[in-house]
This record gives sequence, C-alpha cells and structure tokens, in this order.
Amino acid sequence: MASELTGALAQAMADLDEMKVQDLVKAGLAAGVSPSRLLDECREGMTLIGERFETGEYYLSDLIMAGEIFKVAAADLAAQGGSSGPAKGKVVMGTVKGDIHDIGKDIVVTMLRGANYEVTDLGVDVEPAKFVAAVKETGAAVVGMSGLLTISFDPMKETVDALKAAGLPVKVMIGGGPVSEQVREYVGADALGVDAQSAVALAGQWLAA
Amino acid sequence: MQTSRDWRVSLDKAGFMQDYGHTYARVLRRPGMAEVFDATFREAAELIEPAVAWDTFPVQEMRHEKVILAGGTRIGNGPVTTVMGGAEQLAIGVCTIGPKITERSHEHRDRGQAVRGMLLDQLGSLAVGQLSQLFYRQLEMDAASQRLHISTYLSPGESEWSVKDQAVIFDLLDATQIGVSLTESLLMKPIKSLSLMAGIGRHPMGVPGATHCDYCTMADRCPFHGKHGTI
Repeated sequence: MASELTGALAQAMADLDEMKVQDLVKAGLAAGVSPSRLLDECREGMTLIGERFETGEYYLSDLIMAGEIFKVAAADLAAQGGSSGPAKGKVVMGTVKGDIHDIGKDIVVTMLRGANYEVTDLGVDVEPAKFVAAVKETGAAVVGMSGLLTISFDPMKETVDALKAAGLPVKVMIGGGPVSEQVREYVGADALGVDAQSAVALAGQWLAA
Repeated sequence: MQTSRDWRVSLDKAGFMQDYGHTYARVLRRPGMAEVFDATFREAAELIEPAVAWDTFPVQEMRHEKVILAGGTRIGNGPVTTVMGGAEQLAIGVCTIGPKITERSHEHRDRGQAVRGMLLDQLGSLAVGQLSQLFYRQLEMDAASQRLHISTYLSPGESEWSVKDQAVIFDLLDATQIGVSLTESLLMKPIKSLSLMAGIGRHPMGVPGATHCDYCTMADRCPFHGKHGTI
C-alpha cells in the first residue's frame, strides 16, 4: 500500500481532488501507513499547488480551496499522531499598522504552514512593536508584512526600522497589491513577495541558508 | 451635503461568471460548490446596504497639481488637474455598501469556509465599484441636465493622487451620516467604501475616453481593472 500511495496523495492534493485526498488518507491509515508520512504527502501536494499557481495554471481561489482541503486532512492526521517533524523554520506574519486587509496575508500563512513552516500570525493592524515582540518571543528568522493600501508603506518602514533598532537578525519580506520594488527599497525590506508562492520560496531560501 | 440610500446595486451571477468564472472553474467542480455559489450571491444581495454622501464645491483656482476650492481648501495632486483642469466645481462623494458583507466574510473564513469568504469579499468589492459607477452616472446626468460637462472621476490613493487627501474629503463631507468614518491611518470604515471626485464645468475636461482605471497605479495587478460596475 505504501508504494501505491507514493505520489498518489500528493497528486490528488495538487489536483484539488478533495474526495480522493480523503479516501487516500483513510486507505493509507487503514493500511498502516504512518500519519506523518501521509502528512508529508499532503505537503508535497501543497508545493505542487504553489508551483501551478506560479505558472498561472491555478488561481487565487484554487490556493484558498487547497488551504481548506489541507487543513482538514492535516487536522485528521494530526489527531492520529501525524507530524512532519521539526518545522523548516519560524516566520512571523502580519498586516501592518493602519491596514485591516487580511485575505492575502491569510493565503500566505496557509501556504507557509502547508510547506511546514511554523507561522505566528499576528493578524491585522499590527504595530511595529508587536512584530518586534513576536520575533523576540518565537526566535523567528523571517518576518512577512502585508498591506493592500498605499498607507501601508510608512508602517512597513517603521517596522523594518524597529526590527533593526532591536538588533534582530531577521529577513523581511513585504507583499500586497500596491507594493513594488520601489516600495521595497523605500521600506528597507530584504525582498518583495509578489504572491504566496514567492513568499514560500523566499522563506525556503532564507531558512535553508 | 446630500445623502441617498436609494441605489440599485445588482449582483448578476451570469455577468460575474463571464468575467471571473474561469478563476473559479476548479472550485466549482467541488461537490456542493455550485449551491454555495448561489447561496453566496443571495447572501451578498441581502447584505449590501448602498449609500452615498456627496456635495459639489466651487473651484476658486487651479495651481499646478492643486485645486483651490472657494474658501481656500486645497485638494488634489498627481493627475487631478490633468483630469479636472478647467472645472468650475468639483463633485465629491463617498460611497459605501456598509459593513455586513465584510463581517459575514470573516465569519465564513473563521468557520473554515475560506472560499466562500473570499467570494463574498470579492462580491462586496464589485458591489461598491458598481455603486460608484451608478453614482457617477447620476452626476453625469445632473451635469447634462444643466448643459455642463463632467470629467472622469478619480479616487485618492488609487492613482498618483495621494491617499492623504482622504482627510480633506472627510473634512468636506460628513460621511458619518452614511456610516463611514476615516481611521487615523486614512482607511475608510466600513472597508467596502470608496471616495471619488470629478470636475464639472462648461467645457470638456481631461483626455476623451479615459477613465479612472487609466490612471490607476495598480492597473497591471488589479483583478477588477476596467471591470468595475460591469456586473
């Protein structure tokens, strides 16, 4: 069963075939495949989904549906003792002070968690001091800031400045509708994440280093 | 200042599917999702509470990028005087569909129904865009009835016109009468609100055929580019 399963669950996840994911998880557990192995397969599927989004094959709605399917499967497997082992790294995420848009930020959080990063989601309208405190508390090496409005640029800059002033050796990525390379330069962030998949890729680069 | 809650915002599913259906094709293959879509459209229609507050303000003069209103209020930068140069008055309005769609969208997402929450949020964005179009059409008709011309409209923060002018707009209009307020960070609450401004005068203004989308700094990324008000 284990060999039959190899790739099939990841493929079903990548194809957003919810029924097949559930069936394969049940079948795998019944056949004695470890929940952790099944969870890893689901995560592989999430990686494929991110790649399909990057190539333009998948849309935002597909990422969101993938998040729903993954959360259910991951919760079921976690209840069976499934774990993917230590997370690849820690990330602090939030929508910056003054902005309360959260859909984009939530998608990034879901994709990062799907890729086995431990994410502290600070929510929306997050003060710079709260980012600093979260990094100190969690030891995160990456901070992601989201903002959908032009009013977000100054709070992003204030947050980067606060992280630097606190002497925290973190990499900072920013994202959101109006954010551009010029904004990244103004803010002083390390990178611009143009979408959820690029945020995952950036975390991968930085945390693998 | 005038206010009106009598606006017919119509969320037509067929029109939506024509413009955005391809982005939901896989989602709609999910069992039960077609019914969820129908329910979400009905839900959106029930939750929309359209309202507009607006007024017109005589223009005293235009200086480079700024419009000086009678009384001395200074407003505009970016493309404002390019679009509204020659205007004798400015029509300024705040449109909202109220807070309920956003609240319900969060409820769905909190319950794990993220797709439904996102769809409802998207419908809310389209609804407020459509409301702004309806309001602008009314301004056009009012201007035409007085044999006046109207420019296209712009919103602060959408083009190079700074979002900081939201504060000026909210000083000119008491939008709290339709339930809209401005936060310290210049964010309108409810979040599904739009402010806009257009010039009115005896002569045509701006570039013929250009719309606010032509001046938008997010044109290459906006999913609603050129589509506001089409559903």
